[in-house]
Amino acid sequence: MILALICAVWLVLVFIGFAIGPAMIIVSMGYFIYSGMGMNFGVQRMVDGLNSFPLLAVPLFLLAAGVLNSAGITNHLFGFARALVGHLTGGLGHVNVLASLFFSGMSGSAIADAGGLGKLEIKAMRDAGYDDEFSGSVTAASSMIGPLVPPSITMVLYGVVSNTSIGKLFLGGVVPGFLCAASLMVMVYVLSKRRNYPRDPRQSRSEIWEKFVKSAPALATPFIIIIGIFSGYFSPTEAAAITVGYAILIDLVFYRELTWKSLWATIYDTARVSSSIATIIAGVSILGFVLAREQAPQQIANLVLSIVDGPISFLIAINVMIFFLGAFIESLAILLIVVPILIPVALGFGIDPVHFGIIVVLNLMISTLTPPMGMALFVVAQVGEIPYHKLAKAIIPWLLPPIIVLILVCTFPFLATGLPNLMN
Amino acid sequence: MKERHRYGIEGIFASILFVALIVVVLLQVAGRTLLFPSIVWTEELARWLWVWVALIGVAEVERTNTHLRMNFLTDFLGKRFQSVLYFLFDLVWLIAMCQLIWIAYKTVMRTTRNQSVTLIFNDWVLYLSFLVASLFIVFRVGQRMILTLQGKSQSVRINQ
Repeated sequence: MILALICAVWLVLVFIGFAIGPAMIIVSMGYFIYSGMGMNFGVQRMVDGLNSFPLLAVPLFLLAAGVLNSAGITNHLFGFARALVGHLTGGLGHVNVLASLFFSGMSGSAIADAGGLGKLEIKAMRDAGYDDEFSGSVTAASSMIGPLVPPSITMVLYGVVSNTSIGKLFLGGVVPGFLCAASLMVMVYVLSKRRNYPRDPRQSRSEIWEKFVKSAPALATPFIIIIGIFSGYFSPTEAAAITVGYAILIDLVFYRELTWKSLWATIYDTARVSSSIATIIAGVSILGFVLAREQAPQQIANLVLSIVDGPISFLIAINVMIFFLGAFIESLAILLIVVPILIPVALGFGIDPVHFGIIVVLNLMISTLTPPMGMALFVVAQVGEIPYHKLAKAIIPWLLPPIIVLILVCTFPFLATGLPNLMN
Repeated sequence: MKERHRYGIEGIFASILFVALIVVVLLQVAGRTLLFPSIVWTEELARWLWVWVALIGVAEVERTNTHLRMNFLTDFLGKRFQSVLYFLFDLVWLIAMCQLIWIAYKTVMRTTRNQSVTLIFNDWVLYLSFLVASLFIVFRVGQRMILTLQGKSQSVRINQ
């Protein structure tokens, strides 16, 4: 009863517009007052929740993405992608997906992708005669590849809450990330053929090579991260700091577009956004204690076990639940509150934690596209100056390709676990 | 936002600490790969810096009103009703933060003698971050409430 009340109050607060992190703190404080426990250890719990070395990877990867955006590296990646696939039917749609795939190797955030590359992609598509709904939808849909291909902030957070190897999660996301890109390109092709969208003239090999050379230093980033982590040279958090250093270095040597002013603005923005995420983490630390005290994990596990009878039905139930919740609740909140409760049940069914992690991350990324609470949609609508309601309607068919990939990953665990096991 | 209002004091402080954090993590990698023996205090210092960055940054989030929130339902409400609702939210948050200031103070006092594992500071330095951040947050939320009462409220912005 108390547990239901806690959840209901938090949900009501969030739905009526109270900030997500502070709402958790308020609800927890209410519980402490109600139960007569006092809040003496509340502050310590929140600070200790943040005091984690793996968590540092979140602001550092965000900063790396910000530096790459400020340094104008996105322009070079877009140029290279355009040279490679611009001549296909629906050329700029494919370019959009491929550029996001390239950028995802440097950034771990769908929002950074949508915000950074989005403006450039939508402008190019609009200029070429694509309609706003198509341009916005493909930009939002392709941004979800970001957290699947390493590095990934969502996977770092999953790794922290589930105690799973972040390196393995990074590798586990590679195949699903590429599958998402491929399936979105199929979608672009089908729609473009039907709507007769334009294509670029084919570029010569020397032009492609020239653009590749310009993008190569940036394209090398994911390899540095993966090789560094798996060779034992650095941890994921250190890899994130190395990525920041590398992004600044390649700008100094190759691109020379970063200024002190833009670097400072990027650092400031990253610190602010990270703090916004940190509020949720601090809130989860204290709310998590309340939920544990009310035996929420056991109660939810019992509830789930009464509904499902095996790993397949468990995965179906979990995916439906996350998909539904994701349409209304911010994906970060789902990841930090709901997922830790589900992990022991998943392990009980013999599901590999890396496999489960990839499924969760993929589903959460789909939730960034589902209206009404689709963060990627908000950002794309804002940067592309497209009315939100139009984009929310146009995105619906674009949910199909990633959902198909999600079903494939659920059905064939090796798509997620194959690469990490191979590296072992 | 005007350029001179773009950075608050909390944001500048958090950004400087963030730069220090990056340097410390890079020093950790350099220490382990280039130096022998490696530096032992970098990990703990990096964690502490992150806690400071994160919490002081929350005050900047308050100043810029960019907390992660779902405002698709409130967007349907009239401007006046929205102002009243957000004023009430601020009031509840302000009361909670005032309570947390007192708890943070007690936590700092309680941990003055707890020694950190590798740093020269005691644990109170870590928990002081919450106290300082709470004071900043109360100031910023209070400031916003006064602006709302004066009819100059800043609209809620999406945090990118």
